[in-house]
Amino acid sequence: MAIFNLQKREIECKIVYYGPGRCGKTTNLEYIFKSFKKQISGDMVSIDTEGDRTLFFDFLPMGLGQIKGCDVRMQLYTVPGQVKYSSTRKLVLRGVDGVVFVADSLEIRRNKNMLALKDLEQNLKEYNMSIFKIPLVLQYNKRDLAEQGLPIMPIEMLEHDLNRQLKAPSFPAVAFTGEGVGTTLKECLKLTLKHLQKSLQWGQ
Amino acid sequence: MDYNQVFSGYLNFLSLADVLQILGTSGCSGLLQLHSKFAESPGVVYISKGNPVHASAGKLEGLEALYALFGWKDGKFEFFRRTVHQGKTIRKNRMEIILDGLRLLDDGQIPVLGPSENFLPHGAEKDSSGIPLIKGPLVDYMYVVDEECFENENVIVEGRYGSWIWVILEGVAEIVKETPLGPIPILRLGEGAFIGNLSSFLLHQQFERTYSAKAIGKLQLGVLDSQRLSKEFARIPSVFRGFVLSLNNRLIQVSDRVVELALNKPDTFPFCPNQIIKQGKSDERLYHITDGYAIVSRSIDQKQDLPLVRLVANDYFGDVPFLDMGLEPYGASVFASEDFQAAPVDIELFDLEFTRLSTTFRNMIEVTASSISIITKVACDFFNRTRGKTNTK
Repeated sequence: MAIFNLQKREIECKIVYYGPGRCGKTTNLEYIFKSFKKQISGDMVSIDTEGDRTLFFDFLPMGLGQIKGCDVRMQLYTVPGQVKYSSTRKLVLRGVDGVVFVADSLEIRRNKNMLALKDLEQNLKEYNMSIFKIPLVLQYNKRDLAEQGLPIMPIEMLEHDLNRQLKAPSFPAVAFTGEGVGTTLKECLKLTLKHLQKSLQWGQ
Repeated sequence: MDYNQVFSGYLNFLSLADVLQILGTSGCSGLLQLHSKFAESPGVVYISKGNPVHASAGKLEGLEALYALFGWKDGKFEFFRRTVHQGKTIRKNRMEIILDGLRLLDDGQIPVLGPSENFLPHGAEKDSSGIPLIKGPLVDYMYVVDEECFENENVIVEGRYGSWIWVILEGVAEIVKETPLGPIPILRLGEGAFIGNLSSFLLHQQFERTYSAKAIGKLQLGVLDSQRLSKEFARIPSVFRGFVLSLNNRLIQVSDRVVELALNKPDTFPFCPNQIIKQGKSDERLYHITDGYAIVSRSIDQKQDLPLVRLVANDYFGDVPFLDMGLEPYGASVFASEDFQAAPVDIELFDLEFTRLSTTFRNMIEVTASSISIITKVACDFFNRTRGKTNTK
């Protein structure tokens, strides 16, 4: 749930990038940090966690305007995948407003994707949130690997595996070059703000 | 009441990471104090405009201290609003500290503060005899009506009757259980600790002493104004009085348990198959038993549990945030019988009643809790020793 900072007249939302280890969550955030410099306040925090990195920074989306006279500040996070980082995961997921699930297109990661999605569902449940209700966007990352001759899953297969029930907006991406990164984030911001307005019964 | 104390609560509800985030987003300046019953002194974080600038925890200072405080999962926090003039020793980004602190915690690099094998509660230490020594807080002389001096002699003897209570002004007394195999020392008491039981105030009648107390060398005692204490005891709301007596009952039981273990006697605990509190799991509630039995037991290793105390109707169990018994939920599990029933207690009310007590009374309750913790450890030591013997046979 977003935090209202009355002092600064800001609404603080939290968007979390979730996905199996090495799927490109960090690459997504690094790309955003690099290419949206103007909209970012403060530094990027990067914590080395085993097998993954946890990233965090503040993002001020442009063009969204104000909500009820308040600026919107987005906190972008990645979650460490490993089970043992439960304290970090708990902190990051507590009060999350929107989720980007980054899936790995590599064929050999098929199972890992599905497990991570299940894991997300479980973790959200612990905070009384439903994966079906939270603003969620899927990203099928590493689409470029086909060119290098590595076997990747077709989009239809990923949709079938991950999005059959969720029916969330999904985007192909190559986080490394930034392809699809902006679209994914934009869609998630849009959904998150819509959801926020709806749950606060604004704009009626 | 410090009016600058603007924000406080329990760490097992709102962790340090959460508190730092809240203070951070609000851009507060002031002093954040953390209190844990497992630490001798409070941990302090200086916060300027929402960002931690300095911290101290025990011997640690700066960022290292702040990280260590992430291991304080249990206890209280208080935030005092004030201008911070403290020199800046921490320059890291707030969110980086929070995320890194949690990572270090998850990686096991920050120790979680809690009861451990070698843990001695506040005020307890070991003297040269190897028997743990408990010292109490400062003596409130308002309640001392007379002074007595003992030298290498018994102050009270187990099995005899009496209701006097003394506070130790100077010297050390050894608490001993009398057994057919001779006396077993279980504990030593130093300045500020009490000789005599809380149950002495129950009725105006003589009570059988449950232990002997002997002066080690010269022992200067203050006789406490038992009439005044009895009156105060009578004024306490009956639920809280019941809690105090339940505490006293635990002290007597763990002491008896030491004797049982020392003499290798079989225990006589009722069958309690249902685990209701798991050791180490935090449950911030306190319960009042209305029916059935419960057993408080500490797990020695993965296979063995050592039953310590048997609880019956009108006893209390669970987490008491203002007292440290070293038992459930952090240092012991609770098992219940099949017909067991219990109801949660309003802990805020208990906390309030506790703060309303006179210093002397509060000290007595605190020393009782520390004694339970120490004697539990003595019982475990005996258990390990006798088990060691049977293993080598």
